[in-house]
Amino acid sequence: MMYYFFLVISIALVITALLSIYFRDLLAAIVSYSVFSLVLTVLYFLLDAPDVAIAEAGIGAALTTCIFVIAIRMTRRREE
Amino acid sequence: MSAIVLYVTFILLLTIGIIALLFKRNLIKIVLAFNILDSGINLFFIALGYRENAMAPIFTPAPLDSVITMVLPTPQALILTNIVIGFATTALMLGVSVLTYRNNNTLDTRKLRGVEEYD
Amino acid sequence: MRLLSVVAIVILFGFLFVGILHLHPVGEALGNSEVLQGRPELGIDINGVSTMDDYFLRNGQIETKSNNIVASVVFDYRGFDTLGEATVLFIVVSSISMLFFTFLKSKSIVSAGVPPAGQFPKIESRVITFGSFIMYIMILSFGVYLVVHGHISPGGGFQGGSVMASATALLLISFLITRHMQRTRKIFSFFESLGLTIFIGLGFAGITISFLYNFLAHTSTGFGRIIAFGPNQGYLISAGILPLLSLAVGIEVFFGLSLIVVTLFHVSGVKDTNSLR
Repeated sequence: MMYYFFLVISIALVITALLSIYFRDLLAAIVSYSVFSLVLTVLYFLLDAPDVAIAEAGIGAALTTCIFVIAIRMTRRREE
Repeated sequence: MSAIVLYVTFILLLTIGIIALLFKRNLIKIVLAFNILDSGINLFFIALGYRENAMAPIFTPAPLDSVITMVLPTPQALILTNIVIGFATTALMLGVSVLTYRNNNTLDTRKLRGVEEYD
Repeated sequence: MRLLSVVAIVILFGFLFVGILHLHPVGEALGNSEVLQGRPELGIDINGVSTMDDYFLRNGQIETKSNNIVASVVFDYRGFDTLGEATVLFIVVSSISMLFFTFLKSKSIVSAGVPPAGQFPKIESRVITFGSFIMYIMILSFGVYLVVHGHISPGGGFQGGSVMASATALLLISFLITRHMQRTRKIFSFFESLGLTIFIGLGFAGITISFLYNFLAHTSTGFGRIIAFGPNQGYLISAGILPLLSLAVGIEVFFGLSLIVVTLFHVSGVKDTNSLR
């Protein structure tokens, strides 16, 4: 039963990872990576690792997005 | 096949990360690919320590049985610190990327100063 | 050249796929999984222990008096490793400040988000400012809860510190600390150093036995309170030096990660003049 959840979440993980590589717009790519981190947080919780889930939710979904957006603001938004 | 689904996910994430590291030219996209690779390795470690029908290694909400099964604690402890360190190294890479942009006025790795002579 | 790299990636993929077929299936990790099997009342249980993780699960609560086995592995069994990680974080924050040294000393701040000294920012919305302040207090309270209760529930220094640091980004959005950037960075760097110093000092406090020895867990009063073996509700003051180490790491992670975000935001508002060019 648990493996069906794992299968669905794994498909979502691979799709969001591919999208964050595929987008030429860097802001869209970073939002895709944020969604990737949120889905990964759910997977960590299902794998009985609540400590890792809290750390991933704070770091991956909030802080990484924040510093990437700041870095894009200092450089260019489009990937040429 | 259902028992190795998480390992296959790890391999796919690792391959996506390595391909993007090799073939992408934008420096920020390379940092993003490095992050995806890092997340894949974290997922692999957590999946190695998973036990079915077990509970998290915390005794506070545990049922009062005489026999309890728990998942392995050591991979979780390792990955916990690795996530924070991964964020710190990401910030350092982004800082170097920003300095590179300010010195070369481009993020393309093939248009940097000193690269085109060797190409 | 491109063909060669494609062949290399295919070979790597094949090796990894053959490798995972030899691993144990997901959900069946190795070892003897019954934790409270022998129920040793106050002793060390090594009967039937086949892996290191099973030793931690059977004896971690007796040896460190902490209900959260992950916290006892992070701060007690592998405490030296955690000291190394905290040092890596400190070095990274220092090197980011060194990378942007000329930018941080520059006086020419453009109006891209960071207002000049003594002026109000361009976007002045009371809803955003007040709402961000309320949310900041709530997120900070949750982070402090995670840090303080790290040894009896999911949480600890790293998790609570990262949750609190994500609240700092909220302050940057609402322009609450952009007017006092230099002072903020000084305060943050002071507290970050203080956290690491507390960690190392607690490590040296038990130097008569060994470095990072859990000397408070064997006193049977105060922080060394004897808790019931097995599932229990736990006490806030227990588990030896684990809560203190967790607090030190929480302070260091919170101010370190906040300093990274604040430094990058500060640099993004500085006009590029006297850089390395």
